[in-house]
Amino acid sequence: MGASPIVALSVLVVVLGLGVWVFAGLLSVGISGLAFFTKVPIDRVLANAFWSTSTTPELLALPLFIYMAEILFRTRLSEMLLRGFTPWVAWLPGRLAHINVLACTIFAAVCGSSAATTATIGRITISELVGQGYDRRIIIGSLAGAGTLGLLIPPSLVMIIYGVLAEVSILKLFIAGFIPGFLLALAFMALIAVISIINPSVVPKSQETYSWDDRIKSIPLLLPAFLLIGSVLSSMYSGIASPTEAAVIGVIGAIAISGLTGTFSWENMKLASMRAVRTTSMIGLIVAGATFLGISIGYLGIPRFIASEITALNLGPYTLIAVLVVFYLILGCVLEGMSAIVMTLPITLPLIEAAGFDKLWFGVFLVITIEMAQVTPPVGFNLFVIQGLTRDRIGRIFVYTLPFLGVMIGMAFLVAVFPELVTYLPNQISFR
Amino acid sequence: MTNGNLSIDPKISASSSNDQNGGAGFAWKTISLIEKTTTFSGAVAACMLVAIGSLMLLEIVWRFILDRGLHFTWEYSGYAMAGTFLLGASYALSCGTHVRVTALLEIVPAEISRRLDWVCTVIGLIISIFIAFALAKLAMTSWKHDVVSFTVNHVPLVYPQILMTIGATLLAMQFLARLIRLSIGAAPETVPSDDELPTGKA
Repeated sequence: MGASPIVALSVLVVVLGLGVWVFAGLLSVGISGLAFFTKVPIDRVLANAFWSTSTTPELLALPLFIYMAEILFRTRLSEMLLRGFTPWVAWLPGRLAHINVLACTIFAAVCGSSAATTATIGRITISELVGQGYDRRIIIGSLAGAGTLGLLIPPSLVMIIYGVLAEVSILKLFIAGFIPGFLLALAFMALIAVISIINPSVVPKSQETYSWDDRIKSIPLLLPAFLLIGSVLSSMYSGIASPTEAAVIGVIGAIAISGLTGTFSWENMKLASMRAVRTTSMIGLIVAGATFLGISIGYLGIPRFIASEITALNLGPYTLIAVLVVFYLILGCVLEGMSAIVMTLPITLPLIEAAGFDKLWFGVFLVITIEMAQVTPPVGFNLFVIQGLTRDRIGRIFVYTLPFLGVMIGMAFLVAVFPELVTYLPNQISFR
Repeated sequence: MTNGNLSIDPKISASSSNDQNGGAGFAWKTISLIEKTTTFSGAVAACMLVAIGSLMLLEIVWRFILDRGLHFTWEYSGYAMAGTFLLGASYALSCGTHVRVTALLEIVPAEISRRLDWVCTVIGLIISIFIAFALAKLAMTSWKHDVVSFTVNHVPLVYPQILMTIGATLLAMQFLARLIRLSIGAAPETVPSDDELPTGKA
């Protein structure tokens, strides 16, 4: 038994490292583990894992939020956010560089995916702001950092998956992500302000000022996004709708915005549907594969074994958290965030529970850790997305992102030291 | 990790099959047939996605008007989601959407990379055949014992399970098509032109 966790993990790393698709890698390790060490009917365990995962009602929010993001991706929402926010932020130190953070925050609140947020906002802001003379470093760095907010600010796809796998209320997770998400956005803006005060050359000199009249005129540009966020979030938080039903409201809202901005067409809807199917299926198979792997390593007694080993090491709770952060950051260097979460959760969750941590808190903490993994090379998805937009080298994009990564690390520490930042809101709101 | 993009000759596509003859021509015909089927399956999965949205919308409207939920929306949406996951799987593979770690494949020389990709595809093929086998067995059991859902709707579970089995079978076939593509030195997948961003990297 002693060697089996190491064998399982090594096989998984080798299989995934070779380039086998993540879902197939998870399944192959689970299948071979069961075949070599147990006598359970593998096909039955696998079929049941697939069946139960793919029909889980809680997971239904996932395809719908993906659909919503795909529809919004084809609207002019990001352009409207850029124009709409300009008069509001032009007076701040750092001026329009803040738009990256604000637009990412707003877009994250309607879409739930970090890559979609980065790509949608980035393809508008990079050309526009760099064209206006803003320093590339601050624009690319803030985009990479703020783009990860898609994971933390509700609705978040990763949180839906964590909620299903860890059996935590998705709604509570969404509420719990609120304060850390907005604090992180504020911290990014503060960083931009500080950088531009220290080094004024990152922002172009401009005498352009905006009056309240301009600001009021910009409201119609911001209104659709705010209405959509308002209706999705308020329907969930008021208890009228479950996350799944709120996602439907989101899809309808996205179609309405598409109509309002003149981008609605059958061709666009068809493209959005087909792309949403691909993403949904990709994530669905990974979740099913992770569920199966979780069951398999349960049969092998690995979680029990690891938990007892770690208990024997007598780590303090904070040491355990520090070890896990390092573990996820290393894992995040070679694996995409969501896959890292789903494949390790069967092992790390019992540990966390044994150490007396709240599963809800850990979910949000894990998401922040995975956000960092999104911007650490060689495998950082936000870096890839930005590379696709700017053609810069990954290493260079990473250097630009470093100050923002620093802010994220600070946020992770803050959440570890003050868990109330996560747990306060969900404890205040009563549920149906 | 990115989508596999190991183009040997990206210009070669299934549409150029007419120029080929003999074994390669047959190979292209097979690839073309499989890929048409998987795209169709993707379209069916898209309809199921729309069905999930419509059922959930119906649920909200119904509850808003009559103050009570419908007894079938959540259950049928669940089956539609199972359909979306599995029926969309082969289409997602043909577009290169399923995530994988490509770092090694990108570092090593092209020839080794192609062989490595071939090995990965074989592993994918074996795994997907096993998924199809396991799901087919599940569906068979449900059919033999008339297993119905534990809800008031008493839905015979064999139907959604057959859909999943078909999806997994198509996934295996798409892996086969990929294997053939690699074997004849063609690009392993056709990334659609609408691919502005890596899909679904949550």
